Order: sequence, then structure tokens, then C-alpha cells
Amino acid sequence: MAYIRIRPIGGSGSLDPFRVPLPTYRQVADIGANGWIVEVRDEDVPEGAPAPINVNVPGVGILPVITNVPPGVLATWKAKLDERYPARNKTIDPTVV
Amino acid sequence: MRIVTSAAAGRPQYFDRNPVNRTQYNNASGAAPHAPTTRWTYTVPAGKKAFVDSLMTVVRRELVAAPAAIAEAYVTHTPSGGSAAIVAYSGVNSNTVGAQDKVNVAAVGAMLPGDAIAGLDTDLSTGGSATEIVSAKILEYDA
Repeated sequence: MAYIRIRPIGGSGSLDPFRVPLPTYRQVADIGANGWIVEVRDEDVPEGAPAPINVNVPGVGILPVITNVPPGVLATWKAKLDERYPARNKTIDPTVV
Repeated sequence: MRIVTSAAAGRPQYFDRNPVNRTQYNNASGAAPHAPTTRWTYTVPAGKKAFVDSLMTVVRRELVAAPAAIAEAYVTHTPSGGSAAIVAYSGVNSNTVGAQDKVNVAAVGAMLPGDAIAGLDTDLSTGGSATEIVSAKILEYDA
């Protein structure tokens, strides 16, 4: 399990709720303009990502969070998720911030 | 003596096929009004299936709104290639502090590869606050 900071999408209504474009996640915190911190399971953690940084999340505590993933790592991560969740590959498009 | 002739006789029960428990949970405690938000999702990976053992949704009015509108917590199931349907729902449209709606659902059913469930909440009131909880317990296993 790892924490990742991701930019949410959606927000225009019940058919387009706020969310992050990942197949499996849990929102840990909404940190406003800085995105969401979400928890992803071990199998879905991006390989080769930079070491997590400590982020003090109000009401939650200090969490080690993966941020600012390089484009190459992001592309590899998306390809891995596409393979693991082929039925959802058109909706998997995370932006790590 | 038990005689078994089925070709599938040697296949273990689903709960013995490399099972892993998966849980998803969110407690938006005393949250301000907000648009529909997907707090969590779970998608069945390729080569796996999953059984949703239980779901729970709770909504409770915490602070008076002006005016109150519907506050909801719900879980949707979206089959692979299909449209979402709500499988558990709680809603409160009362402005009375402590007004609550709670739903527990057990043995929801099996999910196939690519199926997804999601926990969402919203509060369309103006001002005030509400607590919304969405939770799921899932057993994932080899297809």
C-alpha cells in the first residue's frame, strides 16, 4: 500500500462525480488545490517512483506520499494498470502532482 | 462413500482459491456540503473474481443547514462494459441534528473481472454539515 498525490477530475454532477481516474483507490484526504492523497494497494503502486515525501495532512497526520512522478514512470505505471484492468483501460489516466 | 464424477470436482471452493480480503472505507465526518464525490473504488483485476461480503452506508445530519437538501452516501456497482446501479443507499433530507439513515447489506454477490464498485457521497444543502460513511468488505479470489 502507498499514498499518492493525484489531481482529481469531474465535479459537474451526479454522472460526473469528483474522483481520480484509477481503477482501485481510497481517498485519504482532499488537500484542495494540491490534489487528493489516495491510497493504492501494493499491486498497483508505480514502479520506479521517487521516494515518498512526508506530507502533514490536517486531521490525518504525517503521511509518506509519492508526488511528482516522472513522465516515463507514469507511462509505465499506466501500462501496468491497463494490463491489470483491461476492461477499464480507457478510464485510467492519473496525473500525479 | 461419496463418489464424484464431475470434471470440476477437484476445483476448490472460491474462498480457497488464493483469497485476499479487500476493504474500502471512508468516513466524511462532519463534512460541509459538497458535490458528488467518489471516495473509493474497487475494480476486479484480470484473472480474478470477487465476492462482496457486505456494504454499509450511513448519513447523519450534524449541524443545521440553511436550508437543508439531500445528503447521501451510496455504493454503486458497474459491470464491465455496463452502466452503474446503486446497491446500497442512505439519504437524509431533514434539518434535524442527529437525523440519520443507515443501511447494511450482506452477501451482495459476485463480481467478474472488470466489474467495479464505488463508494460516493454528497450533500446538496447550503451550510451546515453531515457525516457520510461508505464501507465495503470484499473477498477477491482466482477466477
